[in-house]
Amino acid sequence: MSMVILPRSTDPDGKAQAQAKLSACIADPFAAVMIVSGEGPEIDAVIEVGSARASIAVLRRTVVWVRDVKVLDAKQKTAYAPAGIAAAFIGLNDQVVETLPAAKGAQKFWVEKAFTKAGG
Amino acid sequence: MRCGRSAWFLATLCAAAGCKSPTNELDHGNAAAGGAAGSEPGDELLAALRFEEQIERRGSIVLGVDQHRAEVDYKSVLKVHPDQAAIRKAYEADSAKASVPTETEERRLAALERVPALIEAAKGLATAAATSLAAADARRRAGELDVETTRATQELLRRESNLRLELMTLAQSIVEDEVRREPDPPAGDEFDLEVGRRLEVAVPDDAAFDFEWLRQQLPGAIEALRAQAVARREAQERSQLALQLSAKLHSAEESAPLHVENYDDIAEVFGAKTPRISLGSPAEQAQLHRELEAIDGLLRIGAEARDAKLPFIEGWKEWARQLRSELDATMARLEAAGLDGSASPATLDDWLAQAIANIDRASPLAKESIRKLEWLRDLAKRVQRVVAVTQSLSVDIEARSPAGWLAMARDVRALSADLRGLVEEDFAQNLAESLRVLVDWGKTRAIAALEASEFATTAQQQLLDSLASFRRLAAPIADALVLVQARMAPEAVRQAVAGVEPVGTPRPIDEIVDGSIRLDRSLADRGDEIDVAAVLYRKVESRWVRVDGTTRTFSIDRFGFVSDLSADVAFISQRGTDHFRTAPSAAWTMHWRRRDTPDDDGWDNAWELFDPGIGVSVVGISTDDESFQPGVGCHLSFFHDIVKVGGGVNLGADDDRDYWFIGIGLFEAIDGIGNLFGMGGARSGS
Repeated sequence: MSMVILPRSTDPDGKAQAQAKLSACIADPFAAVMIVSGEGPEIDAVIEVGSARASIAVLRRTVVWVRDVKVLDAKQKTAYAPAGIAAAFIGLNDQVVETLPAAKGAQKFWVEKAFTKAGG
Repeated sequence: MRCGRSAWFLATLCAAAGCKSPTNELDHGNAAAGGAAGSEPGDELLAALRFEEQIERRGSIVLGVDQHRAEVDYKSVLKVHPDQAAIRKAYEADSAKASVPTETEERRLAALERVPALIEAAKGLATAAATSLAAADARRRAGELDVETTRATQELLRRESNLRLELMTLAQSIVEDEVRREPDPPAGDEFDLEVGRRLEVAVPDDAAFDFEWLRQQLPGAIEALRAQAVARREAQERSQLALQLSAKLHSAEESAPLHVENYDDIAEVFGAKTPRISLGSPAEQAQLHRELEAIDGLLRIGAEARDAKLPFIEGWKEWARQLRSELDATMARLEAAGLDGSASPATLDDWLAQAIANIDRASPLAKESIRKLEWLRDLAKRVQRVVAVTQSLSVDIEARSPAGWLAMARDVRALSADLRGLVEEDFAQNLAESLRVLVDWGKTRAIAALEASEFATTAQQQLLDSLASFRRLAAPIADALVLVQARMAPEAVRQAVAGVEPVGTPRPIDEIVDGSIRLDRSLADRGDEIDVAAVLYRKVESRWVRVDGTTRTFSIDRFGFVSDLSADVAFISQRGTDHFRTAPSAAWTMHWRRRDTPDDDGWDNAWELFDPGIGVSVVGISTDDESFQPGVGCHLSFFHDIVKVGGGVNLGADDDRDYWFIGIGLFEAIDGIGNLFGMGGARSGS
């Protein structure tokens, strides 16, 4: 489970399914989670780098792509997808430990370091 | 008439004898340092300063520290050239000092040196974490994952990732330093992105982090960090050194700061310069007048001594005798009261010593009495000394010979301290208090002390009478002493202002320029001295902290053809008389004063020693019938106006008008003798 794409809010039962999948990913006791929010070319680059870095340790790293942030509740939105942030990293203690803007999220080193900081 | 000429004479005399003058010693002390690291504080700084004297129409002279005496002309400009490169070389961080890293740099160096060990540990932990995770995942898939296994695995994963994070952070700092060292490093987000780009190589596609890449960066990174420490320290110290130049002029009247161009904002005091050849400045003429009056007063004392008209000497003797007598009686009463009586001591000093010993044994109450008796003993000694020297003085005066006057010059100096003590100290009050304490103590010992009490009153009155008489007759001597002390004033004033912070603001080392001291515009004149001080500062936490300092002292003189005024005692032998007469004499003498240079030969030194001069003099001759007759003559002068020989005409005489004379520059001689015997005028310290 290195890459999880959440459904959109417009999909049937999309929000509920998205919440269930997100919760399952975060609940994994051994995996650090990279939550990528949004869509577009910049986000594509982040997804590309994130999935590549996650693939080298699939049991320890998961990438969750939240294409439609409307699936997140207000609290989650504030924590995982604040303005200007493309990726949030959640540690083994289920807390956000690092966030990256899109430009840094597209670079291997910063993504790798953020995963490492999150315990992955 | 300015002070300091006799010091010059002394220096010349010493030069001829092959020794060093105090000023000379000071200069050579600095010269010897000449950049020799660590020999004396300030030596390196002094070696980095070049002094140059610029004289109108005569060019400039470099005043090297190897010069015999540091002299400057009173109409010159003294320039100080600080050598920026030499100061930097001496005071900026050397490589050893600069390589000392800061605390942060030390921490980073230690971390870099630990990297190989950390890499090995990280590899081991990664293997262990992978194994543990695989096992935990298997149990999870089997639905057997328990809390303990979960926690243990998580802990292992955290430790592994934390160690990896530490290594990645070190790698990041190495690359960040590399980017910062570049000529135009990016800032803000661009800086992070550049660092990220360069670190792509450390993050391979198939592994979390390339430890070997980090290992390869270590030697270069450690070297770069050390070089960075050196560069940082050097830049810091270079930018934070600052130099301050200041100058002080020490004259007979005062000690005042002098403006150093480019280094302070002190207002210049413009003063009209006395020409090299003139009848003297108003100040010099006033001093000549005072010295002539003092000489006249001394000659009158001489006459009174000759005619046995010095009653105060006998008064003092009588007072000292009475003091001893009364103290004898007091002692006898103490003995009668049961104290340790012994044979009558031979001298007053013995008596007092014995009295102190006895009272000390008697009672704790006697402590104060002992203190008072000791004071009385000191007083008695001083009185006896004054009496002895005054008698010697009267003999000197009565001798009416040059030798006698030179002896008198010595005696006047010897008298100085005791006379000042007796005249200035309120010892009459002290005496009354001392006697009262003794009487009170006697009463406590049940001794009838009425007589002692009466003596206290009588003695005090007698003493006050003697003092009044003494003061009246000693006034000329006191005047002479004041004039002599005025010649020593520069040293006293110098000591008084020692330690006063220089005025002005330190100038950063990158901005130091030459400093100029315009003696030609100042009040500086012959006999004055100027101290040029250089202080190097370093800025530490926004405060200037003194690093080093040095002071060079220059004597100020007039060079070339110059004229001097002097007040002399003239010993006149007039045609038709068979003895010398003493008379005050005012002399105007012209000299050729040459500057001392390192290349001086024996003739040059001899010229400076003899300092020949030629001039005219006016004497006021008191004849045997006490009438006053003026005389005018010409003279040759030697030894910086201490000795003059000449002839003249007594304008008031009817016949046998011509005379020849030997003149002694009394104050020049006193000053010179004082210096020769180390009684003043010598410089010490820098």
